[in-house]
Amino acid sequence: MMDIRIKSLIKLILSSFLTVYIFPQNLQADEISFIPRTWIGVSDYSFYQSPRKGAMPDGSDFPKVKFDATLLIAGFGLTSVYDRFFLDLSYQDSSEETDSFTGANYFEKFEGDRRDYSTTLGMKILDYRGVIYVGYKNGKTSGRGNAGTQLTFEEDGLFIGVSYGWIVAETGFLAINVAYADLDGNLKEVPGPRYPSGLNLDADSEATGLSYGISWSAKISEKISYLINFDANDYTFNNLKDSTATKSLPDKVEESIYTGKISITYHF
Amino acid sequence: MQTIFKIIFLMSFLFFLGQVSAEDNVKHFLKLNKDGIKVYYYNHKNFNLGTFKAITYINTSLASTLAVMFDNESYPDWIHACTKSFVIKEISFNERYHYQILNMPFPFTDRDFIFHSILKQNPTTKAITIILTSISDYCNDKQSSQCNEVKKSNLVRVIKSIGTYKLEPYDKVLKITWVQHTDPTGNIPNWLVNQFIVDTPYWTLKNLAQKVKEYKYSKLIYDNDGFAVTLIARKQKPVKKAKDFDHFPTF
Repeated sequence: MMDIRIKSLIKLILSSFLTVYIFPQNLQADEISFIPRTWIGVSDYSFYQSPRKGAMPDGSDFPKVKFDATLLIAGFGLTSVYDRFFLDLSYQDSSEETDSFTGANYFEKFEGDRRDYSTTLGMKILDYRGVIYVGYKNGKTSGRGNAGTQLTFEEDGLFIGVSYGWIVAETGFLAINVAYADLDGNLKEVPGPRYPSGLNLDADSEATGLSYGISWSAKISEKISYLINFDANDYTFNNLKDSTATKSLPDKVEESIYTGKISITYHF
Repeated sequence: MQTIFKIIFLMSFLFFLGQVSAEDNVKHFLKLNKDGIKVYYYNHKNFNLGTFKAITYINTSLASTLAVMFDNESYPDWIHACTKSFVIKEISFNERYHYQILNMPFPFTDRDFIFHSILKQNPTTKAITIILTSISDYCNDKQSSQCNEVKKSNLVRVIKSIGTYKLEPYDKVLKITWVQHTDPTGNIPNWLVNQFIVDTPYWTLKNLAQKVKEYKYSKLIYDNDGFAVTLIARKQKPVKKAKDFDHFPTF
């Protein structure tokens, strides 16, 4: 099976070509405006994996795995705008935070982080108050345990979304946003040496993502604006498949990320 | 002697302008026809400068348009690539000098202009023609605060530039005809000059059509002979639209 990173790269390249192709041709350079932005924020991250039935040597279940962490995030992006269309590229990374796993007489402290990148092609509708958009995203959560366990949860694929907003008191724009993603997921778990053998996991899966949130944008000056977002991202991994697994796979794996962030944009 | 040279120079420009205008129907060809703006490019044998003619119709009044054109601080909002402008000296309602900076793409140095503008009127049709002529050394022997600021400039001063805005009111529509001849001074590649010849009139007139809305309550006062003598410029705060805010959602 092709490595998910290669697949992600191919998808990113294809979607970039697609978006460039869809963008109107023969543009005058001055018709396109470029809006770089950078942001910082806080994400409340949680991961849940249901018990693996009968996966322990005595036939009992390997317990559920649950991580919660508050991550500091920072990111940057570039939006190119032409008339009603925009093309956005963004990248976000997080600080490394800790949580622990306890279950079945095992205890391990984990350090983990999360990074996301996406490309989005959108079109303004309804006199610029609404937006419909499609794009590609890739998100990856990594965890490293002090007992040698390595965890990676990655999802990538295409998404579609809509947004609508209102001008409030001539000072800012309040918008709501919802998007759905049809993703491919990959979960890698390499337990440390103290765990029973056979618990290794390298499963591909179907995954769905749901994003919803609210944003407020306003101008600081003619060229500089700020943006405040509160977003929720939920990912559900279904139909895990691992041809090399010798033990049962978890029935349910979920990630939830609640993020608050503030961005600064500059109009060239 | 200097004055004589200036007069000769100005007359030469006006002569060339007359030549170009006289041959409008023969020597120009359409470069752009978009959003109700037509931009013509001149290939004039006697005038080897960046030259264009642009025509558009704007749903506005003569007073609103003049109010925008008299408000030099607003120039960066609507004149393509203009980053700054201010009045150096206002002689009368019909005559003034102003300064203007034109942003050039890297690695070229920005250009600046000193324009002398003369406003001519047809009291019958109410049409107004504004003739702009660059007087690059206007400030050299003057000591006003405006001239002192101009003298501090280390940009490339454009020496040869002349243009006309003809504003013709028809019922509720204003026809604007803009002819401009500019030698950008110094080494500027032809491709850049050609780009400016199209971009400058298109974006300027497109922006102007929006900008005049902010001045829609402006009013011209005419004397008994039908000549405009005073402009009451009434600028209102632009109404914010959804387009003015950053709203680019993603997953």
